[in-house]
Amino acid sequence: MDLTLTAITNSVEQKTEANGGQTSGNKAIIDAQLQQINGDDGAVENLGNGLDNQSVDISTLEQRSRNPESFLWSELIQSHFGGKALAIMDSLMALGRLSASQLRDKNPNFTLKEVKLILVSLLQLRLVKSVDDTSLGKRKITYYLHDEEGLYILLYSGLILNEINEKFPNASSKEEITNDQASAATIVENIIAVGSLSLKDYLTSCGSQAPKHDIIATFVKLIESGYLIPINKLNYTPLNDLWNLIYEKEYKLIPRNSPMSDLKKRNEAKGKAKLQFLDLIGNVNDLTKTIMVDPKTSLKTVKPLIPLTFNLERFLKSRRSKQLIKFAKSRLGGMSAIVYKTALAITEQKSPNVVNPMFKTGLLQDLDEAESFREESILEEEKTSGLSFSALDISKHLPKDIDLRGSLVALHNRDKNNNNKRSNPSSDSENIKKKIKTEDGFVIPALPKHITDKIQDEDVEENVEEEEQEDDAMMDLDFDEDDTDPRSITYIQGHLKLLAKSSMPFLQESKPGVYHIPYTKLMESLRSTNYNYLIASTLGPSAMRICRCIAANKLVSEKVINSTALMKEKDIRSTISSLIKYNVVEIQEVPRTVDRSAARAVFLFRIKEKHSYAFMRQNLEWNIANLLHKKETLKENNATLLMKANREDVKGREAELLLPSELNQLKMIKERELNAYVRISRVISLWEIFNFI
Amino acid sequence: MSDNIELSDVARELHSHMIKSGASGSRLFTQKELQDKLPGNNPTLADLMLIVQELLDKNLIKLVKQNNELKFQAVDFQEAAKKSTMSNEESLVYSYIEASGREGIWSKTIKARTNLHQHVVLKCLKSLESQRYVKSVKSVKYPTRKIYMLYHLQPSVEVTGGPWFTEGELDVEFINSLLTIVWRFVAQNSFPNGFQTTTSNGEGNKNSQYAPNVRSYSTAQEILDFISAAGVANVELSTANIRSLCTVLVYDDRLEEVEFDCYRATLTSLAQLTGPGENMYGSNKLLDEMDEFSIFDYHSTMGPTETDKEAVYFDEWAL
Repeated sequence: MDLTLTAITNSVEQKTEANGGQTSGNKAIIDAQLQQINGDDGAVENLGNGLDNQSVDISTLEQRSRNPESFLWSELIQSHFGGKALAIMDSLMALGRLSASQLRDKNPNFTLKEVKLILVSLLQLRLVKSVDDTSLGKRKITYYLHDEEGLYILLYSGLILNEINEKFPNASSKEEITNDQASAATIVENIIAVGSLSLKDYLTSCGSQAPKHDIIATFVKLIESGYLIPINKLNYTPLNDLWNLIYEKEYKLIPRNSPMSDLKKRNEAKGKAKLQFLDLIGNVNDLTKTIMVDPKTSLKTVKPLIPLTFNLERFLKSRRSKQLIKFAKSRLGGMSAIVYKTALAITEQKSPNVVNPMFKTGLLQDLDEAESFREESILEEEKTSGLSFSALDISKHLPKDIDLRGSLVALHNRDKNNNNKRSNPSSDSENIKKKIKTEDGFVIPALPKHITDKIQDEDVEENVEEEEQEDDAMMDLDFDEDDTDPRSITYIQGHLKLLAKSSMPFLQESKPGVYHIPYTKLMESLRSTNYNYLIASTLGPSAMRICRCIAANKLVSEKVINSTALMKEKDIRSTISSLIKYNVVEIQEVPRTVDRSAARAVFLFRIKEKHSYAFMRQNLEWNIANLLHKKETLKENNATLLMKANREDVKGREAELLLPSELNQLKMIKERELNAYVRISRVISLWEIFNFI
Repeated sequence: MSDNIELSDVARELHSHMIKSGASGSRLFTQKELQDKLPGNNPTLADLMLIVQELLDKNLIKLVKQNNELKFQAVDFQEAAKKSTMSNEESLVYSYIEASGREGIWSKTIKARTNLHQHVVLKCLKSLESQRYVKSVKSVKYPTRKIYMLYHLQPSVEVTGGPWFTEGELDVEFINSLLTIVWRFVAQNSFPNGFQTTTSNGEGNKNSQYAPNVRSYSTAQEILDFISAAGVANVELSTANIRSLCTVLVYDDRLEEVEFDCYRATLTSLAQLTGPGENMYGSNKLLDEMDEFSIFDYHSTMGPTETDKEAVYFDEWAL
């Protein structure tokens, strides 16, 4: 989608308020910000005009006051499933877990049967999870709560299919029609559409003409690469409840009369529960449960009756890789990024989950636990087999048509110049030589020629020695610029070293020549760099400068910013005020008088990443929702025309049956829809950084 | 000038002795030392007092109290002549300004110390200024205060705020041009092709880098040498100044600090130079992510048009 519309504008831009009493005050600030963003680009003019003509669409106050998360999910459900599902989901999102009868009470328009019917389809699509509660009396009550995983799959659906298409391209485009059913994207599309499918179901729905072996092979591929997993109860159980269940069970198993203190008991139960929990979660990807060897053909096949579902975790890993590749490209350029891409591709499947399941258990509340999780995951990244690689591994998987020659230069320009000078010592150099004068005007006569020659010879010898030492150093690194192999190991090693030496921890060298990707640390820099650039692109480069200045100095006063960021105090104040508006910077007041008078107090600034990221995530989330909303309104406004264009007898013969103005309108709708999709996918690519990755 | 001032021989001798023995007359003498220097056998304190009084009257000697001990300092004839032309009030004001050295003194402080009426102080300052004995300078710390110091003195760094201030104001233009120069110098050393990354023969498309063993960074000293050699700054800069410039560039993400005092230009900063549509990172069909939207390329995107109904705004929600 991105390819088709390269000239589409930036996805996150300033919005100017076109109405309301604040306009005059805001306009000046916003114009100044816009100038910072766009320089002398035409965009300022455009938006300036927009202000006058009031042509910029401003969402209503009602929309703006909505919680971004529920706004996004409601828009998604509304556009995919319509009003009934929305009503149920809205109550679940607003009120948390509810039983079916409670849901009916909240939505008096529905009968209990209807509610249950809707719940069944929502459960199938993994939009709702359920949990049984027996604590109140003997009767079992089933509570339902919304499941974000299903919602994420909905949100990502287009990107998922795109990704699957990229990873598992159709074998041959000629037989497209017959092979369509065997293409990975079609299979995944079907699975997403119904929630879960077994191989047998899929085959029966395809009919007898379908290329059965191709379909099975694609299924096997998808399962082996982790995109499909068998569905089980875990997918419908909230992880937090599962954790509590296991923990409680373990805690109760410890005998009451044991001499241990309660704290010790709890810790022991926690330790045991962790093991069980991870074991349960890890079991999901056990291939032996789903794949077997067909006794007839002795080919790998999928057990036909196991229902399979899409594995969001796996998809998020590939999203993470994409983000990292973009990041590497921006820091180290295309060639290193290709090497990095290869490294990521090798390790992607075994890489640690984007969201650690333990994080959903609520254990992170404890600071010690949070720290130990962090340390554990750092250790795991290094120790887990399959996550480390060397240049040799990369060379096996590098794209065939890559040419790394010329991507690395082994001699610095300044050294080149020095070499040239030495190789042809110009006769001028002697003439230019400065005459040395003593203070009282006595000129020191030049040394006799045979002596200068001798000195020069010594110099040259020294230089040669130095150069030899340098050469030795180069030999150690084994780098040869004249290597003729376009995919030579030395080049790969060079790029890997660059990645490891970069200021961002793209790679870590665990043993000489063996690298791994330090996800835990890398994600932090990925997030902060993305955040800073988002700020720079919207609030201007000076905002980023102040932001990074505060981050580097932890807690600063205006004076410190003034002296370290070398900005005028007036500019600092105006920039900081906008930074505070977007929760980038926090103010700390240091009162200097007993009555805490604001006039005499000193104000310090600091950055709390968690808060600013959360705000940014919500902001982006709201924008995705708003885009979806705009798209839906557009469709609603043109409902008659769209209905007409979609009629069976009109389809394919639009040019004959529709008026030219209708055709134009239709074109405009399509363009705007496409526009909205492009922007949604762009904003998603920013939002996911703060949401999962 | 010395001829204009009439002095007894003994006093003149003592004065010239004091000027000669102390480097530029700044040495302090104790009473005992002066007594020893007097000619004749066993000169008494009374003799000394007479001579010192004579010198004091002619403004040729200054009394300084150090560690609760009275000390004497010679004043050269020029300085003395200057003082002799001043009125009493003027010389009082002058002495306070002189004592403040390179830090300068606030006009209100002078008033408080001298116990003179404000009008008198202002009159004195005006006359001293017109005779070019003192000057007023702008302080960075207190921009509203009038600070006075001796005419021939250079204000201290505290007062001027260092090289980044011109007449008490942060010279943003000067800083920005220096930032650009520093960045260009470092960038030239960080990438083999310097700024010609996209050359016409197409080879530049393959954006090349220095191998990891090449020293591609620049040290603060190198940058300083370059700037001094180019002669772009009319003020004296130190490595500390360069370091603070580099820190600003690091905040801008245009440089990154490799090690202490060693800086490299970032690739993103280089990409910001190129206009919209040009791909700085080298285009390659092997990398689909090349064409995908990335916030790091924000500078090469265009703003939304007026008719664009789907534009997303950063501040729409937060408005």
